[in-house]
Amino acid sequence: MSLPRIHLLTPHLLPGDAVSRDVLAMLSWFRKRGHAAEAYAEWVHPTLVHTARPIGAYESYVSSRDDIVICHHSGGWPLGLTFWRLTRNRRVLRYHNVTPPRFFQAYCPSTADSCRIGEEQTQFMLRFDTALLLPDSEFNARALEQIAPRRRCRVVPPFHAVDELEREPLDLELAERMRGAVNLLFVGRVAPNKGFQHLIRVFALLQRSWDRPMRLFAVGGLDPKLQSYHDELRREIAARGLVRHVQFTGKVSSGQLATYYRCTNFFLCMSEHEGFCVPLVEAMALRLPIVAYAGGAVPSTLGRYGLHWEALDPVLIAKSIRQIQEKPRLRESLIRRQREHYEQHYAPQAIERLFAEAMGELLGHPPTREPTASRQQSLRKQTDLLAAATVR
Amino acid sequence: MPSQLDQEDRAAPDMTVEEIKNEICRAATLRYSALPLGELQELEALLSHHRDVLHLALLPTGSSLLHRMKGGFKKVLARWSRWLWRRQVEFNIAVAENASETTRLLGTMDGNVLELVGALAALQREVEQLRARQARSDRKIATMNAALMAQRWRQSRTNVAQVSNLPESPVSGPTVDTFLLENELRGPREVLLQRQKAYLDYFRDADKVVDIGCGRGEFVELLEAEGIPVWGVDVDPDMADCCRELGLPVTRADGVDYLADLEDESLGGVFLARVVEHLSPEEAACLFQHCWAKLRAGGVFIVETINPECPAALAAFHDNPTRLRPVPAELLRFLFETHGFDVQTTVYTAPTSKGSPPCVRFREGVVGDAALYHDYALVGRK
Repeated sequence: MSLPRIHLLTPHLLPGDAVSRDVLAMLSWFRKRGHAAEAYAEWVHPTLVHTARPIGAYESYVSSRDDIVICHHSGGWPLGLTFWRLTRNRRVLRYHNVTPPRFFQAYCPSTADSCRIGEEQTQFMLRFDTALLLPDSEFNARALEQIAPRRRCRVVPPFHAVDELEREPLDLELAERMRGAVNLLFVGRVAPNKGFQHLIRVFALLQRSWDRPMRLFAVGGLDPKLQSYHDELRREIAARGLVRHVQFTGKVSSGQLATYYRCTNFFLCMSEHEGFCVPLVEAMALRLPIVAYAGGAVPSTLGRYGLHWEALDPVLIAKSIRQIQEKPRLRESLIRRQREHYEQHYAPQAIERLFAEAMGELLGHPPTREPTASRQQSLRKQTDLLAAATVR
Repeated sequence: MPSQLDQEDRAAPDMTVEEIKNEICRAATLRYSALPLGELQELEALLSHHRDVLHLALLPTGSSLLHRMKGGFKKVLARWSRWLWRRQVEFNIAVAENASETTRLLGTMDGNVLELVGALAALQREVEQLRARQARSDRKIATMNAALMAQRWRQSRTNVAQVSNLPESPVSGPTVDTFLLENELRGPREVLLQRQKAYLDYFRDADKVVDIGCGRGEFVELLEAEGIPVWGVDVDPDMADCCRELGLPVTRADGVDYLADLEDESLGGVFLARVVEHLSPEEAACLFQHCWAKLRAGGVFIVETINPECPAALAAFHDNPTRLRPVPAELLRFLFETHGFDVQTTVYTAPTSKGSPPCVRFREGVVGDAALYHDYALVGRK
C-alpha cells in the first residue's frame, strides 16, 4: 500500500512565526518518513517561497479520499475554509487558537473582525467530519471539546526551534549593554492580548519598591495596524517615567534572541490570552526563570513546573521577582523544575513522539469514511425500521 | 552576615513550585487584584458587534418573485413599525454607551487603585530604608554611649587613685577596649535578659547565688528581680562600674580569688556565662574546684559557653581576641564529672535560624539540631 499524500494548509508562511515553524517542521517530518508532503500558503514570505506552493495548487488534490489534509487554523481565513469544505481528503485540524476579538476592538476593528470571523470559522470547520483534531495545548483542546465533543483529539505541542537557539553564540555587544541591572524579558508580538499594560505596571511597581537598576525588554514585532495601541503603551511608559528603562526591540535575529534569553534575569509573562506561548518553552529550555500571570494557555504550558499566579496581582508578581532574585535557592529550584518540564514534555524528541503517536493512528489504517451526521441519522432510521419490521 | 545567609540559602534542599509560591506568599504583605474587566470588555465588544449587525437586518433579496415580494413586505413592515421601535433602538444605544462608559470608568478606577498600591509599595520601601538607617544609628549611639560611660568610669578611677596616692594601672600603649568590644558582641541588654531567663528556674530555691564573670549584670538583674539573693563578680573594672551604676550588687574581682574568701558550702548556686572559653584548662580546673568547695550539697552549677557545633558561632568565635579556645560539650561534661558534679541537663539557647524555638533542653543523648544554636549550657548539681 502506498503512503498517503499529505497537504499542509496555512494562511501564511513567515520567518520567525510559531505557526509557520510548526508547518515546516511537520513538512520535514512527513518527508523524512517517505510521504509526498507539500505545504500550501496564501501569503508566503520571499525567503520561504521555495518551501511552499500557492494555495490554489491544492485544488487538484481535493477529490482524493486517501490523502490527508492538515489545516493550520489560527484566525479568519476564508480561502482555507473554502478548501476545507470542498476537500474529500481526510481532514486534520491543527488548532493554534484564535485570539478573542475584544482585545482588538478598541485599537483595530479590522483585526477584531478578522478574529471574530476566525472564531466563527472554528465552529464552521468543526461541522465537517474530521479524522483528527490536533490542538497544541490542553487549553485549546478544551476549547474544541466545547464546540465539538467526543471527536478524536490529541494534544501535540507545537514544534519549535529551541535547538537552534541553544546553538547560537552570544551577541557580545548586546550582552555587554545588558550588564549592571536586573533585566526582565518578554518575547511576543506587541499586541493587546499580551498584557503589555500589566507588564509595564509590574515593572513600574518593581522600580518603586526595589532599590535596584532595572530594565524591561519587549522582544517582538510591532504591527503597524496596532499603532494606536503602541502609542497608548508609549504614553503610559512616559507617564511613569520609564522611557529609559523599557525597550521595545522589534523583531530580532535568532542570535540576538538567544542573547536576550541568556542575559536577562526573568521572563515575565503577563499575557491575558495565549494559545500556547512558545517563548515560555524557549525560556524553560534556556534556564531563564519564568514568572507569569495564568492567562489563556499559560497554566497548561507551564504545568506544575512553572511559577504562574491565578490572580492578576501586579504586587504579588513584583514580589515574586524580588524574592526569587534575592533568594538563590528559590531561583535554582525554579530553573531546575522548568528544565525538567522541558525535557519531559517539550524536547524535540518528546514532541516528535507525540506527533508520531497522533498521526500513527491515521497513517497506519486505511482510510475509512466516517458517517456524516445526516448519514448517521438516516442509518439510525433504517435500523429502527428494520427493528420494527422484525418485531412485527 | 549576608554571605552566611546566602550560604544557608544555597544549602537548602530542592523546592517544588508550590513551596516556592508559599514562600513568596508569606513575604508578600501587600496584595492587590486587578478588576476582572476582560468579561465586561467582551460584552461591550459583543454589544457593539450586534449594533452593526442590526443595520444588516434587511438582507439583499434574491431575484425570484417570491424573494422580491418577501423583501418588499419586510421593507414596508420595517418602515411602518419604525415609530414603534425607535424608543427601543434609542434605549439599546444608551445601554451600549452606558456599558462602554462603565468599562472605561472601571478601568480608570482600577488604574488609580494600582497607582495607590504603587505609592504604598514605594512608602514601604522608604520605611524599610529608614528603619535600617535608624537601626544603624541606634547601634552607633549605643556604642558611643558605652564609650562615654567607660571613659567616665576610667577617669573617676584615675582620680581616686591620684587622691589616695595609689599607683595607677600600668598602660602599655594602645590596647583593644574589651568593654566596648564585649558590649558590641553581646548585643542589647534586653535580648540577653530575655535569653538568660531560660536558666532562672534552676535557681528558684537557691539562697545565695554568685554570677562569676557577670559582664553587664543581666543575670544578676534577673535574679534580683525574682528576689533571689545574688552577687556578681567581674574582673573587668569597666563592667563592674557599669553594673554598679545600674545599682546591681557586683564586685570587681577575679572569680577564684573571690570564691577563695567565701566560707565552704555557703552558696546555693554558681552561674558562669561565657567564661570558660577565656580560661586555660588549669584555670578552668581551679575555678571548678573552688565552685565545688563553696557550693553546698544540692547546689546548682551552670556553665554556659559558645556552641562549637554551630558553624555560625564557631566562625565568630575569635571576634573577641581574649577567647582562648571553644569548649565542646563532651569536654565540659568531663570537667563537671571529674569535679564531682552530677550533670542533669544540657540547655541550648540563641537559635541562629528564625523558625527554631528560643531554647531547647536535653537530659541526655545526641541532639539533632544542636548546630542551630549559638550557645549551650550544662546544668549540674553538687
